[in-house]
Amino acid sequence: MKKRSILSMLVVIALIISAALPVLAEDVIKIGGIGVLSGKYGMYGLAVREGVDLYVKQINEKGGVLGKQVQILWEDTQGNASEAINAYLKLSDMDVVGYIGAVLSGESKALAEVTAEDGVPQISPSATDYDVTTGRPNVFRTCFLDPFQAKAVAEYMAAEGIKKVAVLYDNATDYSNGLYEAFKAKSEELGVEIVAAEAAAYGDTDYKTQLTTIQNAKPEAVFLPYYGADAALILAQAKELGLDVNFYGADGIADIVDYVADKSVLTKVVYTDHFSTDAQSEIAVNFVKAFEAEYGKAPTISFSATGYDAAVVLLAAIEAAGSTDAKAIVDAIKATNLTAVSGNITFDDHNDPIKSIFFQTFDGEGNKFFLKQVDP
Amino acid sequence: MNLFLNQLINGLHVGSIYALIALGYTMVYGIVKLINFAHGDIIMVGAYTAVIVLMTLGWSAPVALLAAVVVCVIFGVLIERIAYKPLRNSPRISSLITAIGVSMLLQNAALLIFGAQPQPFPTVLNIEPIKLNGIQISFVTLLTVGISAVLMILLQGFVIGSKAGKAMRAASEDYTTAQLMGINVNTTITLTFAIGCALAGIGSFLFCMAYPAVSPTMGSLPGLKAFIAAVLGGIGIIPGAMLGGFVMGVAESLTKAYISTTMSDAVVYGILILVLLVKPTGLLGKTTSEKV
Repeated sequence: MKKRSILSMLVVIALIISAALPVLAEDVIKIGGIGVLSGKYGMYGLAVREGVDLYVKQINEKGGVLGKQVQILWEDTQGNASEAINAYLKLSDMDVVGYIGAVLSGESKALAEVTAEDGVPQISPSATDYDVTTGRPNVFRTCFLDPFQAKAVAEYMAAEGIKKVAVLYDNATDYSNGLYEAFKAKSEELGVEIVAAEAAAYGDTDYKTQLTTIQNAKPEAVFLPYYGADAALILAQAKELGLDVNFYGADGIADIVDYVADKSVLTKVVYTDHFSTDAQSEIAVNFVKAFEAEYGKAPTISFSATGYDAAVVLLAAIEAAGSTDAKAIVDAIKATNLTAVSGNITFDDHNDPIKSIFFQTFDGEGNKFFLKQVDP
Repeated sequence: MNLFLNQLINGLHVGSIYALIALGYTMVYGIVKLINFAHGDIIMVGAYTAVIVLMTLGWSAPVALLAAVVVCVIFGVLIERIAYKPLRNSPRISSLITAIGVSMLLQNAALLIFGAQPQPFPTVLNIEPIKLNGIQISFVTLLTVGISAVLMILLQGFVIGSKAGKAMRAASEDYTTAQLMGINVNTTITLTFAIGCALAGIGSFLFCMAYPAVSPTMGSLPGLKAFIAAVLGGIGIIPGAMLGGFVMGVAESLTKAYISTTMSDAVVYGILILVLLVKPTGLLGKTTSEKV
C-alpha cells in the first residue's frame, strides 16, 4: 500500500516536470510586455497587447525566432510608475530578453530608468514624451513625437496651398503648447503665415472671443492642438459664429467623436494619426485582416498597430543579432530599417522613429476617414 | 469697429447667462442671507435632465426645457427643506458650510451616476447666424439675451407688483416682523428657492445651447462667476444681478479680445475688488445704517 502511494506520487511528479519541461528547456525566447492594462487608460494598453499578441502568434506559426518559439509575458502596471519597476524586477528573474512597454509616458520613463541600468532592449509603442529615450541607448519607441506631428501638419497645409492660418491653443498644457511651438517654427520656414495665435486658459468653456478674433483675421485654416473634449466645444462655437474653415489637429483630437452630438461638424476636422485602418500598403491591409479575424473587430485604436510594430522591430532585431545577448539586440534595433504596419521605420540619434504619418478626417457619421499617408 | 461690436455681442451673450444664474443667488441671499453655493450645481442637474430627455427619451427641445425647469425646482425645494430649513436659526456659518456640502454631494452623485466624461449636448436649433453690415449675431445669442432680459423684467414686476412678491420683500427686510404680520415665511422662502431654481433650469438649457458639454463639475465655474456678478451688482438686489452679469460678461470678452486671452479672470476679479473698495455694497447697493 505504502509502496503504491510512493509510486503514484512519483508518477505525478514526473507528469508535472514533463508539463513544465518546454518552459524549463531553453527552446523558447521570452519577451516581456509591461503597461497599463486596467483602469482609466486600460484601453490603450489592451490595444497594444492585442497588436503584440497577434504578431507573436503569427511568427510562432512561421517557426518562431532563431528556430525557437516566442513567449510573451504580460504584466499590468495599472498606469503606476512603481508597478512598472516591480513588473520589470519580476520578469528579469525569468530570463526575459527584451521588453515591449510601457504604454503611458510616465510609466515608460520609470521602466526606462531600470532597463537602462541593465542595458536590456525596451521598445515603447506609445510613449510620446520626448525624455523617455534621452540618454538611454537601449530604449526605443515605435510611435512618433508631438513636434513631429506639428511639423507634418504644417507641411500638409503648405501642400494644400494654404497661405494664412490661425492657431487656437491652450497655453496651460504641455501638449498644446509644444505642438504650437513646433508648428510655428515649421510654418514660418515654409512661408505659411500665422495671422492670429490665440491662447485660452485650461478649462475654459467660452472660446467665442478668440474665435471672433480669428474670424476677423480671415485665415484659410485653423490649427487646433487640443484633445477631443475641448475641441468639441470649440467646433460648436465656431459653427455658431459661422467660421467655416477646416480645423487641423494632432493625435489627441481623435476622440472628439465621443463628445459631439452633431457628427456633421467633424467633416471639418483633419488630424494626424499613428495608423489608419484604411492604410493602403500591403502589410497594413494584411494586418487589419488578420486583426479582424483574430479579435472580431477593427484595430481602431492606433496603438494596436504601433504595438504590432514594436513586436516586429524587437523580434526582427533578435533574429538579426543571432543571439539573445542584450547588447547585440540593442545594436540590431538601432540598425532597423524595415517596412512595418504603421509605415517605414528607422531610428534617429535620439532613438525616435523616422516614420510615416497618417492624415485622417471623419465622415458625416463620425467614422474615421483616411486621407493620406505621408512617408519620411 | 465691427470686431468691437462682435466682441461686445459675445460679452452680452455670456453676461446674460451669468445674470440669469446670479438672480438665483441674489434672491436667496436677499431673503435668508444665505449664499447658496449649491446653486451652480442646480445648473448641472438641469443640464443632465435635458440631455436625458433629448438623447435617451428622444423627446423635443421644449419638453426638455420644461423637464429641466421642473427637476431643478424639485431639487431646489428639497434642498431647502432638507438641508437649510433645519438650520435657519443657527449661526450663518453653519448654513454656509451646509451649502458647500450640498454642492459636493450633487457633484459627486453626478460623477457616480454619469461618470467624469463630458456628454455631448445635441444641437436643438440649427439656424444660420444673422449678418448685418459685417456684424453677425448667432441665433442662440439673440435667444439667450432676449429670454434673459424678458425673465428679469417679469421677475422684477412679480417682486414689486404681486402679493407673493410683497411678502418676499417683507420677509427679506425683517423676517420676524413679517411673521407677526401674518406672512407665512416658510412658504415665501420655499417660493423664492423655487423661482431661483426655475431660472437656473432655463439658464442651464441656454448654457448648454452655447457650450454643448455636460459634466458633473460644469456648474461650479459659471456658478462662481454668477455669484461674483451678484456681489458686483449689489447682492440682494434684482436689477443689480442683471447689471453685474452684463458687466462681467462684457469685461471678460473685451479683455480676451484686446488685452490678453488668459488674463480675463484676473481683470474681472480686479473690477470686483475695485468696486467693493469704492462701494462695498455693490454697484446698485444701498448703504443701510445700523439702527440702534
